[in-house]
Amino acid sequence: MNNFEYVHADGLESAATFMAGHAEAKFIGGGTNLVDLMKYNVEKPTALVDLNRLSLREVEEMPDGGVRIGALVTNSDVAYHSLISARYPLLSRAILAGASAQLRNKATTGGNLLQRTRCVYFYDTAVPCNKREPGTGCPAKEGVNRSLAILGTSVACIATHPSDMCVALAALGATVQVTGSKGDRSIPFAEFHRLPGDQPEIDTTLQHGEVVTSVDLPAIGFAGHSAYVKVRDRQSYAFALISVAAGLELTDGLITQAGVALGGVAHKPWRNAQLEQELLIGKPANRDTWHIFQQALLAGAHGFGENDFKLKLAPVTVVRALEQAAHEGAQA
Amino acid sequence: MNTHLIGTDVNRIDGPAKVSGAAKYAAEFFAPEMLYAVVVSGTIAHGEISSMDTKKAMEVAGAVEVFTHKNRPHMAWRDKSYLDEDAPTDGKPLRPLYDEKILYSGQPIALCVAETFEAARAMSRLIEVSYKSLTHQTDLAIAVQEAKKIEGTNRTGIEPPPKPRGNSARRLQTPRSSWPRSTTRLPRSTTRWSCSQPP
Ligand SMILES: Cc1cc2nc3c(=O)[nH]c(=O)nc-3n(C[C@H](O)[C@H](O)[C@H](O)COP(=O)(O)OP(=O)(O)OC[C@H]3O[C@@H](n4cnc5c(N)ncnc54)[C@H](O)[C@@H]3O)c2cc1C
Ligand code: SF4
Repeated sequence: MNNFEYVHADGLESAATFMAGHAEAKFIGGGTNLVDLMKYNVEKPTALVDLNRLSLREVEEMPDGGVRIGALVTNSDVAYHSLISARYPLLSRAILAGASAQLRNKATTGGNLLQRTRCVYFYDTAVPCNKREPGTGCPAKEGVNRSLAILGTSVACIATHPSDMCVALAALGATVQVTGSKGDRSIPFAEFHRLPGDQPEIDTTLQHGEVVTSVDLPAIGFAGHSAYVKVRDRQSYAFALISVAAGLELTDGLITQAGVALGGVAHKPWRNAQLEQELLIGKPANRDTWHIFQQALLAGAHGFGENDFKLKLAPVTVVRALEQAAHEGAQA
Repeated sequence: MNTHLIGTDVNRIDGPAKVSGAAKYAAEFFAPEMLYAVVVSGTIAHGEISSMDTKKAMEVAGAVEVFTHKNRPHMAWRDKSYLDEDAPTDGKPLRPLYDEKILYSGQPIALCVAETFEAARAMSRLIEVSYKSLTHQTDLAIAVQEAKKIEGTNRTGIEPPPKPRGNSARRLQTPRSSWPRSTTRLPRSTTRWSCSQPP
């Protein structure tokens, strides 16, 4: 770790002004990812702008029937909030499937969105990595890639986004609210994270200096029929090899609304809303439907050796999550 | 005998201190004028260090010294000098910073010493090293093929291993039923420690 400047943001405007003058500065929320990366000498910010004095700690109902989660609300407070556990149990379950109680108490909503990949080469400054040092190469493709992507990869990078929470937010179709020196923006969740392409060093569409202020959930929360299935090497305290967040609304056994997203398979939570429209909406909630959908959703997936097992694991996990989601309501 | 503790949950005396972070670890005891050190590890598996530049590291405020194979303190050269009650009598002792040769990945190649831990860690990031890499072999089965017999096994001060006897290669080709059974039986209490027992 190198020496760095440390300042508290006491307003969104002053934070934006400070950032505009410091190209290598970073925001800090809970610090559970950023500080680790600084200790590994992967992130080398010249200044840290601490967001914790900003009043972004509310979970509140919105006029449109949705719910707004402030960027500084901790992962634990989101998961256990009565509004969330009652109306968006999918989100609660996804968060509680991740990290540990101590980490969730510290980690913030904004920071969770912006956590970086767990690719081992990214963490090891002695080896090349296009994400850490653009242009140096990607040893993961022929190397240790057990946890890495099978969809949306590029020649430059095959990393995965490690978040559980974001998989649920993708399935729910959340919106990320951000603000910066150029004003406010609303970013649909599907457009927040990006695929690596030839710029794997850029994880999201957030610009330098922009602060995430909240994550907004739509009115429909799949409270009746949802499931988060996370397959991992250990039952606790391990990142997902494959995870699936599935939410359904059913009327007389037919699907009227659906959201299905995968974690552990790509550089961003993997969702295809168009396929949901074509292959789920209006169809009966049964295994045949899940199979047809799964095949289309995972078309084009390919492995890199160690992670070939995901090609078999992903389809069955999608089917299992959808089956579980459909049946959950019947039992409840 | 008082056995009231068996079957009872007993709180650890230092439990609250540990969960609240108040407990002190060995590294948290400080002596006056203490210095701090951070090890720099090599990044190749096999080869040698061709050059090392420690200038930038020494410019860090609070830097005291960077030890490398070039300036390390004198080190005993006889293996025997490293023997103690625990050391195995076979093999070579670890001689950190001995010379420019790199024998394994992560081998310590420098020690940064400073007035604070943070300064020592900052120094460790500023050491510039260039290597002459040689190919490495991580497959034991292949490495065994390439093993060389070391001539003149009489190392100073250390008993040579006993002369080989028998012919295990030929023995293994004969059916197991024809192998002689061991005539000495190990004492009962120690049999579970023994690896030489026939399965
Ligand atoms: C041991 C361990 C195990 C873990 N296991 C899991 C797991 O199983 N599943 C899982 O999903 N996660 C897991 N995590 C990751 C954890 O969820 C993240 O570290 C955490 O969510 C990051 O939040 P934070 O507030 O601490 O972010 P920080 O470390 O503070 O920040 C992370 C990044 O976000 C940026 N940032 C923070 N807030 C904002 C904001 N409001 N606007 C703009 N930028 C911002 C920072 O600049 C930084 O780049 C694990 C972490 C650890 C250390
Ligand atoms: S997969 Fe991405 S993060 Fe991993 S080594 Fe390749 S470029 Fe780096």
